[in-house]
Order: sequence, then structure tokens, then C-alpha cells
Amino acid sequence: MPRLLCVDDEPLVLNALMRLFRQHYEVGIATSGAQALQLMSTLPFDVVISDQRMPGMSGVELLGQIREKHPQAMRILLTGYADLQATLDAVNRGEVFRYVTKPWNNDQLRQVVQQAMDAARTPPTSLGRPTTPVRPALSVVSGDAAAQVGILVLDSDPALADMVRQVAGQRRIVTAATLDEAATALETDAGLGVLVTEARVGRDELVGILSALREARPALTSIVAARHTDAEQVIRLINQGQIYRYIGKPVPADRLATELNGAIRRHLSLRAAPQLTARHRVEAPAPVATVVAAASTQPGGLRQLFARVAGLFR
Amino acid sequence: MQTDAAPPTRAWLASLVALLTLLFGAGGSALIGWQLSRLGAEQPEMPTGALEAPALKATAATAEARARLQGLRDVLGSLTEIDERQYAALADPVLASEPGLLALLWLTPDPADPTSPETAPAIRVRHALYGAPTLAQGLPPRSELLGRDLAGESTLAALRAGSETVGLLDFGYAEGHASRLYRVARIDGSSGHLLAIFHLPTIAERLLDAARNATFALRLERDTGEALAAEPDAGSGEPAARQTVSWYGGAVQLSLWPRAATTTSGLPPALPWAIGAGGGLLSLGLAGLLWRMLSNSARMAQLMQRRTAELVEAYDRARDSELMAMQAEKLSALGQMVAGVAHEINTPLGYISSNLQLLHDKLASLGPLLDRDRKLLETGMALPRLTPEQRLQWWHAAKAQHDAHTQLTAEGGVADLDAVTVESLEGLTRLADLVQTLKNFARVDRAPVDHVQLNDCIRDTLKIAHNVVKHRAEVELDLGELPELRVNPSQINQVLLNLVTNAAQAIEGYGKVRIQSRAGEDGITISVEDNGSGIPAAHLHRIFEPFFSTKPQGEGTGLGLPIARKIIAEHGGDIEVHSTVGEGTRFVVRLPMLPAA
Repeated sequence: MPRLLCVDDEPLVLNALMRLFRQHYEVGIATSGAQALQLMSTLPFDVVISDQRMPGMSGVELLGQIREKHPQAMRILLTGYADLQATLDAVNRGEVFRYVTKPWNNDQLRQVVQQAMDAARTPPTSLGRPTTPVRPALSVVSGDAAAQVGILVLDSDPALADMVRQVAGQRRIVTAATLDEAATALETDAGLGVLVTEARVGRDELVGILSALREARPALTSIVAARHTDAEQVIRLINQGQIYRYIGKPVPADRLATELNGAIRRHLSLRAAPQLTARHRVEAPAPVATVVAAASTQPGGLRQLFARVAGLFR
Repeated sequence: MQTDAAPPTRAWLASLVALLTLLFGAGGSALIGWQLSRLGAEQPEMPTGALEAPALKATAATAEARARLQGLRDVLGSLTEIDERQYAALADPVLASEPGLLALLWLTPDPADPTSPETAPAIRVRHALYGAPTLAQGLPPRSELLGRDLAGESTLAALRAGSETVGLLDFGYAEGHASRLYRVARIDGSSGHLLAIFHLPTIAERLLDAARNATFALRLERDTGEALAAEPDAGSGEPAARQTVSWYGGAVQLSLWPRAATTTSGLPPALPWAIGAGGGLLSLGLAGLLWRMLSNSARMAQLMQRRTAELVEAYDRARDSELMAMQAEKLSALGQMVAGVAHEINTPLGYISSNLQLLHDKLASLGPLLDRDRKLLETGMALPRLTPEQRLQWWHAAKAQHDAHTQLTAEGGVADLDAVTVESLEGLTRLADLVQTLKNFARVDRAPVDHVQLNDCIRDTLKIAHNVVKHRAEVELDLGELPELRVNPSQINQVLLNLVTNAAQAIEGYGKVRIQSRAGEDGITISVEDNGSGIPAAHLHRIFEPFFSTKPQGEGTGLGLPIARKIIAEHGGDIEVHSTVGEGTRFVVRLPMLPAA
């Protein structure tokens, strides 16, 4: 039976979660991060749901540690409030699968946990080592496959491309200033494995596009560099885009180098084991899902897909 | 605005004063100069007898001619008989010596003319001699005169009366100015009369020339006042003196007027002008100076007004920005509070919502379950009358229901539903409590200043700050017994929240925050201590500086501590800080027992 760990310092929340899930899963509860880690060291858990604001260790701190210690567990953040930094950490450190806000909808939460359970079942054999921000910037992913991975930079401002070139100049770097150009590049160049993009390109927010890309190019790993960091946007990008990283501009060079390396590694592992992409399935908003589903049947190419998706949000 | 009205008025005033100064200055100087000049003129150096001198001179001028005329008469009177030639020889030199003399006539009575003793004997012109310009002057020719009896009524009467005017009417030259131009002088002798005819204007000129002097301007007049000759300086109005000049037996009046030029004064004539000009320039300078001073003062007044307005504006702006900054700090503090409070609210909402959803789901299945129970029981009431097949059917239905109930129990059953509602109600209580805590913290609808138990403030603040602090630090309370103190509780809460939040944020990882309260003799002491990173000595004296912050850009306003200090100061107290890097920080707030200001 799949195992679910619920972590929250409020016992009544744990009671409610227990009621919700005990019929389908084996539910473990913990009222602190320390307790949760202790439990996990004794029992394997498939999915962990944690609150953010807890005494001692915060939720994202806990999930970050779980990512390192028990990478196969799917991580979900369930919180009443998390400030921007915590939300960024949820993406960048916790690599959370979903970010659910309190109060939640039972059906929706059930669905999220089920999805997580399905993904957790994927054999975790070729997950690769997770990266941490303290890794020195000069380490380079080695191997021929790694060298082939190209980077697509999508931004109307050329500064981001300049920064990427500065940091990873030895790689193939393709730049695009519009969605059209990006789509063309992705269609023509199959070797592009990492997308570095601004959260807004022109009038278009990238959430829908990234969501569509999850389906169209599941191995493509995205780093979002945003001029205006916005917690709501980050939450959407987590839930609907499953982005790899979210960084505020201007991006420090060493940070960018580290994250690019990590993204390349992630891309390679996803390419090697496509079933792992299930771990990054998204909750695409219904219209996007419809468009994406339609696109899979009509081979119109990415450009039309992007255009249609972007059209949904205009 | 008044700044505009004042300078034009002042400028007008300045101009007016300048003008007046100029006028009075120039005028006064001119007046002084004129008075000075008059000073010279009013005291002329008049030698004695200066007034009589001109007349005497004039008289003296004709004395010689008069003497000659008399001499001629004497000679003619001594002769019994003379002829033309002799007469001419005698009279000519006399005529020549006096330019104004036109004619000399010798008249003797006619012995042959019998007259009554009532009437005078005829006086016939025996001899007549004219001067050169005679004819031009319009006298009758000699031929007409000789033998003519001049002793007409008027003539005789005139001769007899001794009048010097012989009526020339007899000559028929009454019209024109001829009669006025001539004067006839009778120079009596013993046996005859010498009649001399003079051209008045010439005689007058001669007299005037003789009398001319530097002191007086002269005018010769007849007795009637008619001018015979005058100098141009002789003015109108009253003369200084009127002298009689006697000449050929007659007299004319000589009037004297003092000359205008103070040539006799010691001052140069240009001096009054110089003084007037100098005074004018001086007053012009003075006027200019005054004008400058006044307009300067007007300008300075305007400048000061403008500066004052600028200062007031700057102060207003500074105060506005201070207010805005304080407002920003309040909003920031509020934002922090909202963050914690949002979580506090959403957590109970989370399980209340979830529980009610579950309840709804459960009821969705419970309803039909109870319906089926009811139907089963209804059917069961008729059990004795049922056929065995029907009874079997009923038993199957009952078993199914029993399974459903077992399932329900396995799922938790009604007891669980009870727990669901109870927990949800508890959650609602939590929410109500939270709202009350918020109200207490913010002192909504309460008196701003009140007698307050400060330990309550500490507890209220901690409830609000709970969420910020709980995952960073363990909070230890060491609260002593405190008397009530008159404070502004919402402000004190604001200060405590700031200190507690700072303490929590200073801790890396997980640490401890200790809050202590004590009552002393002079007041109450509250300390907030943390075992966080501490504040470096270099920053320690700057933390109360507005906008000084060690937080990254965009986090916090840098105003929390300055405002806290201001609040405590307004309560008559103070805030101290002690810190050691790596060990922790302690803030100590002292509030005096005196009532709040």
C-alpha cells in the first residue's frame, strides 16, 4: 500500500488529512520536521505533504532535506501562507511537485496526491544526483551526451542571452526573442535540452507555454529568470509548469552556471529514462490541456501550438 | 500673496522719498546760494553822498554852457546897438559849444511901439541865430522869426511869468512832437531877453551821460513823469531816490535805481550757481542712496518672505515625507503581521473546510443509507405476514445494509462524524479568538491611552507574532508582577512586535527568544533577548537611525527601531541595546511610572 506522510504542527489539520486519505493509503503523521525525518528514516514514504510554518524546521527546509535524503519521495507543500522566499525555496531547494494552499479542496488534494503516488511508483533508479547552490560554479557536466545539449534562451532583452553565453559559452546557445522564434528553434533543433526564459515575453506569460511544453517536450528542463519576482506566479509555474528553477534577475553568474549544470543533468536523466517525466507532470489548466491534446492529433508544429496556447491567455 | 504687494508699494515710497529729497536739496541749496548772493548785494559799499552825486554831476555838466549864455546876455545887454554880423560873431561860439542848442534869439522891446501901460510893449526878435541842425528840427526859418512879435498873449505872459516854456504854438508847431522836443529858455538881461531853444533829447542824453555811475541806474523825467532819457537798468517801481537837476534855468527829475549786479559784494557771481549745483548733486546722491536703501530693504523683505515660504514648504515636505515614511513603516509592519495572521487564519479554515466537505460526502451516502434502513424496518414490521421467499429477500437486503453499516463503521462511523463537527467548531473558536487578538493588538475602538497591564501587551503581541517566531525560535516568558501603567497600548504593541520580530529574524536556524518584564521603583522594564547573530559594534550606534538597515534591499523600511524609540520617548522612557556578535542581542525598554505625556 502506498505510504503518505503528513507533516503539520496543527494536529487538527493532521486529523483532517488522515480522514481524507486513510482509506486509500497508509498515512503517517508528524508535527515537526525533525519528527518527519525520523519517521522517514525508518519507513519509506512515497509522498510527503508538509506545512510551511512550523516550529524548528520550516516546510521547505524539510522538503529540501527529504529531496537530498529520500529523493524518490514526491514532495507537496500544503500551506496557509508562505512568503516569497519560502515559495522560491520550494521550487529551488525543495523541487516540490505541487504547491497547495490552505484551505484546500478535498477532491483536488486527492487528485494531487494520487498523481504524486503514480509518479512515485516510477523506479527511481536513474534520478541522478541533486544539485545544491553551494556547488562551485566551475564544475562542468562531463560526457559527450552532456556536451551536445543545447540551451535555448527566450527573452526580448538580450542581456540574459549575454549572461548565458558568458557562463556557458562552450555550448550551443540559441536565442529567441519571441514565442514564434522559440517554437521554430525547438522544432528545428532536437538537441536543445534546457530552456532559459523570462517569465513574460512580450505580452505573453510563459506559464501556459511551459505547461504545454511539459507535454510536447517532456525532457526539456526550464529555468525561469524573472525581472519581477511574484509569489503567485511562482506557484503557478510550480503547479502548471514544473519548472526546474526560478531565479530573480539580474542572475549572478555563478548561480546561473550552477543551475545550468543541474538543468543539463536533469535533462539527460529525463532523456535517458522517459518514465521519470511522470514525476514532473503538470496540472495544466483545462483550456491548455485541450489545446495540447488537440495539437497531439493535428501535427501543426510547435509554432501553432504556442500560438494557440498564447492565444488562450491574451 | 503678500510677497507681491509689498515691493511695489515700497518701490513707490522709495521713489517718492528720493524725489522729495532731490527737490528740497536742490531747492534749498539754490536758496542758500541766492541768499548768499543777496547778502552781498544788500550791503553795497555806498560812499557818502552817493545818492546826490549823479544830479550834481548832471548839473555841473551844463554849468559852463549856462555861464556862457549868461555871459552872452551880459555882453548883448551892454551894447546899445549891434548888427547881424556882430551878433553872429558873439552868438556862434556859444551855439557851437552846446550841441543841444538849436537857436539863440535876441529880443528887445520895440521903443517905437506904443502900448498902453496895461499891456506890455511888443518884444520883437532883433536877431536870431540858428545852430546847424536847426532846419532839420523843424523850426521856422529865420526870415519868419526876425521882427516877429513873440509877445503874443501866451508868449508874453510866459516871458513875463518867467516860464521857460514859450508857447511855440505861436509858431504854429503845435502838432507833432516838435513842441515837446523843444525847450525854450529865457535868459533875461537888463535890456533884452536872450531866448535859447534847446533840443531836449540831446540835452537829456548829455545830462545822463554826465550823471552815469556804477551804483545807480538813471532816468531823466519831466515833471509829468514822462521819461526823457533812461538807462536800461533803470527799473520800474519805486526808485531809490529822485533828484532835481537844474539846467538852463529849468529843472528835470533824475530818478535813481540801484543796479542788480552785486558787483560790490565780495563773492564771485558763479558761487550761488556752484552752491546750487553742488547742493543739487548732493541731494541727488542722497536721494539715490535712500532709494537704493529702501528698495534694498524692499528686496530683502521680499527675499526673506520668499525664504520663509521656502522654509515652510521644505518643512511641510519634510513632515509629509516623515509621515509617509511612518505610514510606510506601519504598512510594512502590518504586512508582516498579515503574513503571520494569514497563516493563522488559513490553517483552521483548512481543516474546517476539509471536514465539512467530508461531512457533506458522508451525508451524501448516509442519507440513502438511512432511507434504505427505514424501508427495511418498514418491511420488517410486516415480517410475520411475509412469505418465506419474501423473508429471504428481506434477509438479503438486511445483510446488505448490515455490510454497508459495517463499512461505515470501518470508515469511522458516526463517532467520527461527531469528531469532525467538534473539531470544526474548535477551529471556528480559534478563528474568533484570532480576530479578538487582532482587535486587542490594534486596540480597535478602544481608548488610545489607558491604564494597561503590560504583560497582557506582551502576550497579545506574541500571539500575533507567533507565526513569525515559531519556526525560528522557542519563546521563553519571564513576566514579573507589574502595576498598571498609563500608556498607548497599540503603540506599545507595535514596539514589542518590532522587537520580537527583529529578535526572531536575527536567529539563524533555530534559537531562543526570551522576554522578561520587571517592575522597579521608578518604572517598568521589559527586555527582549535573542541568541541570534548579534549586532556588530560598528552598527550598534546606528540601528536607531532612520532608514539604517542591515536587511537586504527591499526588506523592511529601516524605520521600525527609530519609530519604536520615538514611541517610548513620548511615553517618557527609553530603549537600550546590548549586543555581542555571535552571542545575541538584548533590547531593554524602560517606561517610567509617571503618566504618559
